Amino acid sequence: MSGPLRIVNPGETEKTVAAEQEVVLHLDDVAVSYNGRLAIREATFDVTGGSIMALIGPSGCGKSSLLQSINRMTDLIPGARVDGQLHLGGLDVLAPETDVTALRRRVGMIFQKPNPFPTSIRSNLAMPLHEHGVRDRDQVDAAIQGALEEVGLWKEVLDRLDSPAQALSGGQQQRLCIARALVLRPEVILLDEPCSALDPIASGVVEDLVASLRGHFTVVIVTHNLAQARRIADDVVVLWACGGAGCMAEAGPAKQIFEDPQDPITQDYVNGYRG
Amino acid sequence: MLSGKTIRWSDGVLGAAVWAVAIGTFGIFAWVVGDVALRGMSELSLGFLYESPSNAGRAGGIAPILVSTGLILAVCLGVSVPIGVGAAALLAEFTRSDGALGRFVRVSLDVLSGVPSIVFGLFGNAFFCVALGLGFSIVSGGLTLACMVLPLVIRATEEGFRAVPDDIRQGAAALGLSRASTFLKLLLPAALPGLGVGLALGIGRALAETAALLFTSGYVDRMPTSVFDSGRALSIHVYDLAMNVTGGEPRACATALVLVAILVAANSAAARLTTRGSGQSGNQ
Amino acid sequence: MLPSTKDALLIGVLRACALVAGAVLLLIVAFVARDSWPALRDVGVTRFFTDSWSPTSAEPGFGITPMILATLITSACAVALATPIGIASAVFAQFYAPKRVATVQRRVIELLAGIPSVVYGLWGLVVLVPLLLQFAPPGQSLLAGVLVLTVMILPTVALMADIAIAAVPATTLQAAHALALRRSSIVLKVALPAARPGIMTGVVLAAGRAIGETMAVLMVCGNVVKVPGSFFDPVRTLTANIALEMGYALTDHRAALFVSGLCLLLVWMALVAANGMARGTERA
Repeated sequence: MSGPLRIVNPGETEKTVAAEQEVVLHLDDVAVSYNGRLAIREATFDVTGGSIMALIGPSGCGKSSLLQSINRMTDLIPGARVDGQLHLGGLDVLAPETDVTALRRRVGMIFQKPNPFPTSIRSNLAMPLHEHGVRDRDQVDAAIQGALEEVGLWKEVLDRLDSPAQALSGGQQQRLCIARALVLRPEVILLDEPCSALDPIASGVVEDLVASLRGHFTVVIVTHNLAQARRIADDVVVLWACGGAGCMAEAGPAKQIFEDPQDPITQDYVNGYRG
Repeated sequence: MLSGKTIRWSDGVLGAAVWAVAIGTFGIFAWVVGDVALRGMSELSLGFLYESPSNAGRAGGIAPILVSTGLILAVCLGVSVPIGVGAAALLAEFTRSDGALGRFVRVSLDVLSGVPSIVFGLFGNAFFCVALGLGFSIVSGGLTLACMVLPLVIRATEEGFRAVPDDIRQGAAALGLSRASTFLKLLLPAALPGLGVGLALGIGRALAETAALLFTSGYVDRMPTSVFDSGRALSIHVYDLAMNVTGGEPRACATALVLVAILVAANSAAARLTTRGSGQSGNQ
Repeated sequence: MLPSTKDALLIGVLRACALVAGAVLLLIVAFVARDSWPALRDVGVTRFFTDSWSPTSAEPGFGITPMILATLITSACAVALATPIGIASAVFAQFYAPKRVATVQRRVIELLAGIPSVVYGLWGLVVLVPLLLQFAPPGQSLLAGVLVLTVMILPTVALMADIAIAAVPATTLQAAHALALRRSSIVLKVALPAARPGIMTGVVLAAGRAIGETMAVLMVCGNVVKVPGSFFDPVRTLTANIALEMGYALTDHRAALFVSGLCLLLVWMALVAANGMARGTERA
């Protein structure tokens, strides 16, 4: 398929792009395989700081695998192997000597099914802070309040911070998980179909929240909901199934992908004729 | 279940046999427990529980025996629970399922769980009493029982760990929590119901044990002054009164009643913890 | 401390716990064998089968054949009786009983499983033996042992059979219903064969328990070292022998008792191995 693409907003020159919007995440020929079986190959794209990148495509083309390689969650899967070049700013993510703990402080992840810890709301947010060295009571409380305000949960839970997090509704739990990721002030946030396990109303609230992260965080979101991608993404990577493994069909600004797709597969997919 | 079909005679025969067996098992249970209870009931009183035995146990109470039993239990659980939780944690969380250490420990524990209790008694005597020099003591008895109870505690605690959903582990990893933190702050607290079940089952097994205690913790029915003293457990007392003391049968039945009551309590605790544990993991 | 150091420390501690847990069986085999060695060396293996049992006489004899026979006969008969009854009980709970009755029945079986052997022995002594005495003195006999053992191992077979039958895939039973098989056929020709591996494991566990049982048989079998001529003769099992004589046995006598303990241990391990191989070949 196509070679490496530099995502450039229409109307901007290379020079201004380099100055205003640096590439935060750079993938070059990234491939993920499990026990020798390829899940996705030749993934090559860049994500600019503060933008929202959507990875779209039908199920089974390795979107989640690709996402999990970015914060090395693939390390947890026995038999998983990631090849290629993956850089976070100046850091070579895939190098064996890379400190994975530090990496995961800079890259947060939200899962499809909300997974708050079976403890209190406060403890859910305090635990990552304690783990990464923030122990001062006032600092922790301030960080917790800040994160909860960012996800719009503060007013809803401020009087029951010590109640169980799993007693919250699905949408609230997912927002709590986002707050839990935000509390570490990451640079990049990865979301793996964050709305698909939620009812339509909760889904809408979470989607709005994700959109509001633009400019403050770099966001990579996997979604099979084309309308959602159309609504919130700045840039899009279209993945497709090629011979048993996933591959990139096309990549570009969202506007271009949805209104003027170049690749015939993309054309069929975004118009609902395929996938 | 079949509905409105012709009942052939073979159905009738099997059905009758099966119902007979069921009624029979109810009957046996009622007979065993009821008969022992009836014979022992008259000997029970509050004094029975806090007096010391006199006249070789034909009179008085079982206070020192209750204390000895409690101490033996405490030693047993104090040793088997930490080791058991640690082993269960390793088996559930930290080994690949085909690891050599995991396989060895599992097979070893499977065999251990069926070793005859008299053999545990011989081992306890040879190892704790003689080789380690602890003699006939509550410690020897408790340590021997710890060996017996270990497979139960480990199996139940391992179930407790496995019941913790995987997305907890994934969420913790994505936040950069170390494995130690994930284990100590999240997995261990969540696996507590499983541990509770193991504890209750272990208590049940330990209390029911007689043969393993015969030559490890001894026969002395005085109030023990330390865990290095010899002490008599409830089950041994039942045995002694039934076999060695003429006219001791009523008191034996009374002691048996106390023993069964404690066991029923432990078993229902285990049952309640099992259902509560599964309820929790079913929550979103 | 670095997270990686904490992790390494934790895994180290857990590994130590698992190793201790796995080592218990090895220690048992080692120490029981060690304390058996003097008898095996001084007395020789053949004499254990050819002598009579007179360890305290001037010319000591260590023949354990009558006791081996007593153990084997009581266990075999108990297993032969308990297996069909236990399976029938499980069939009742799974196929014939209304839901609530089945739950109660399971609860009763679980309670029966938890009753200590010494309480069964007590019941046997004060209820069963006098009953048998009326038919054929002396009451304490092989038959009493078989009956008490049967009641004791019945729950093991019943519970394991219950689990095994419950594990038969619902689709298999649905296919049988769809073919309009009658209930007895479904039970006997579909469900039980499918559950056979699990039931066999239950039978093996029950056999292990019967062979290793000490207190109950000690209390009701009469404890005469003699090859039984009829079911009403008193006998002494290997386990009862150890329990009765360990208290005063010295040197070679003690070592001989350890030899019989070693036999019991090896028999159990052989049972486990045989069952493991049988299940392995079935899966293949």
